[in-house]
Amino acid sequence: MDCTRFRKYLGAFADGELDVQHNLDALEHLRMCPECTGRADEVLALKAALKRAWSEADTPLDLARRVQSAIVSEEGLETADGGPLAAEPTWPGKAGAQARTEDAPSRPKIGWWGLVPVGIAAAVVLGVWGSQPWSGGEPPVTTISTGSASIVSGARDQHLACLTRQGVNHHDESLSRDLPVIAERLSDRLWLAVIVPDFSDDGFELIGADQCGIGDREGAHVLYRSSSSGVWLSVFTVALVPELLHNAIGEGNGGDLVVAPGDDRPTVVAWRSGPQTHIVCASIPTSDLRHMVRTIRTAALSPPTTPSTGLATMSWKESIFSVIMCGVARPFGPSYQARKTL
Amino acid sequence: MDQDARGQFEEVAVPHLDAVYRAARALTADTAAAEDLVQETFVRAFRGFDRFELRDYGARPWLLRILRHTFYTLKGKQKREPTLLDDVDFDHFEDEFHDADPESGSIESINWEQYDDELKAALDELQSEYRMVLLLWAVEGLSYKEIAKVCDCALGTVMSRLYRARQLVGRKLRSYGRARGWNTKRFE
Repeated sequence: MDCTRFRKYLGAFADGELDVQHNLDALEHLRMCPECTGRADEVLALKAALKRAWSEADTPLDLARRVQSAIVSEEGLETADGGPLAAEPTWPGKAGAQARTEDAPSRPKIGWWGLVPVGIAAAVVLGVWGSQPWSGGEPPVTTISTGSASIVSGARDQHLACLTRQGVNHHDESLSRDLPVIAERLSDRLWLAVIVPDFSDDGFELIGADQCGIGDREGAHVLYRSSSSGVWLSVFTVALVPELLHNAIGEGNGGDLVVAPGDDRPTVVAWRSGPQTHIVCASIPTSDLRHMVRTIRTAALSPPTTPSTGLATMSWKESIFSVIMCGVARPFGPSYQARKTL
Repeated sequence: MDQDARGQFEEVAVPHLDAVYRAARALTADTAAAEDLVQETFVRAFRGFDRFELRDYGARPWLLRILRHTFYTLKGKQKREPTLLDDVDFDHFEDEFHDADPESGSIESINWEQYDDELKAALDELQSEYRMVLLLWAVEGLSYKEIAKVCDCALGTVMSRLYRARQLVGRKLRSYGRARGWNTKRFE
């Protein structure tokens, strides 16, 4: 190994990253080259200098609290009085320790043991003792007559923008053309459980997928087209949309399925699935779109896990625990434990 | 996700808050943006926690990978991987010396302890991807394999980026030194 070759591997040698043979070659070279020995030492000196320079950036004291609040909000848990759970930071590290010594507003914590008998009774009454979330008929539905919810109009706008501007070219080639692979790669990139349903039985073929999201909400956008009618269909996956948690839009009973009939605009059907919101948009009759969505959701909630869509079932244990912790049956979201197998 | 899962997440992820913040500062070079980036990173990590397997993937590289993805996504850059225009081609490594301009030189000729402030200034001028690999290497002590996982690239790319990043820092510091009339020993 000469000096030029040694310099190629200098960094890796100094970091102990070389394989045995290259390491031996480097050591042999250093025995005969004091100049290169100095070079290796200087790489380590730079490393120490960088560590010194960057270690001065102390984590802000309130950052731990902000992050914790954000996670609690993401989780969507509430106390009995409607506020977030007790926000006393319990994290280790200097930021967390400092935060613990500060005065923090005290909030009541839910004593979940007290909800056990209530939860079990509710579980029996609501018939969620089992893996099927609903045994017949549709889940509660919120129908939006005006379509004024921002997520609905945003989905329509994005749907129309993508099919107008890109059409058949709407596809990120790095995602492959295989539905399960697309779902896996987009899920990996976006840290969302992205769904890429197979609508071939309904006459819709995949055109492509990309990370368009909706407006300033990042997310996945999968575009399909009917080979017979030429109608386009979009499936979006974005992070949870808070207004879909409560009956904050349109009429309805606060159900987790939101339907915005089309008339002269594309029909939109949206639903919450754990920390995601899925939105399907197409200029087809509302009943047809709801049927397609029902197929997706039924497939997602029936064992075994359906790898192609990335959705999974909720076990009976999670159904009961969900009832115990929240006091209401929430059997419609996918299981995160089961999805670990994907 | 239930409270038990949230507790598990906090146990796994929170000890790395400082590391994530340092990396966010390295990427954004701005305190407020770094804080927002950290918050968004932990939220995304929480969402994907059920898919995280600790034995396959250390918690810190996992979080840093999410941070990097989040950074580029929020900046609107990350529909494609960022392309670094001057990555080193290790297959033609000798060209690095034959084509070297007089302003370049080895990092080995610099007394690093003398130039702490200048070092920070030089780091601020680097592209964010180079700052990231230097931070992961020097401060977080990640292995090359872990750095490759965080940056979503091959091991060879990690080596070449580290090499280039070190060279760029050295070049900038030499420029600072010459501008101030310091005695910087030149590599010959």
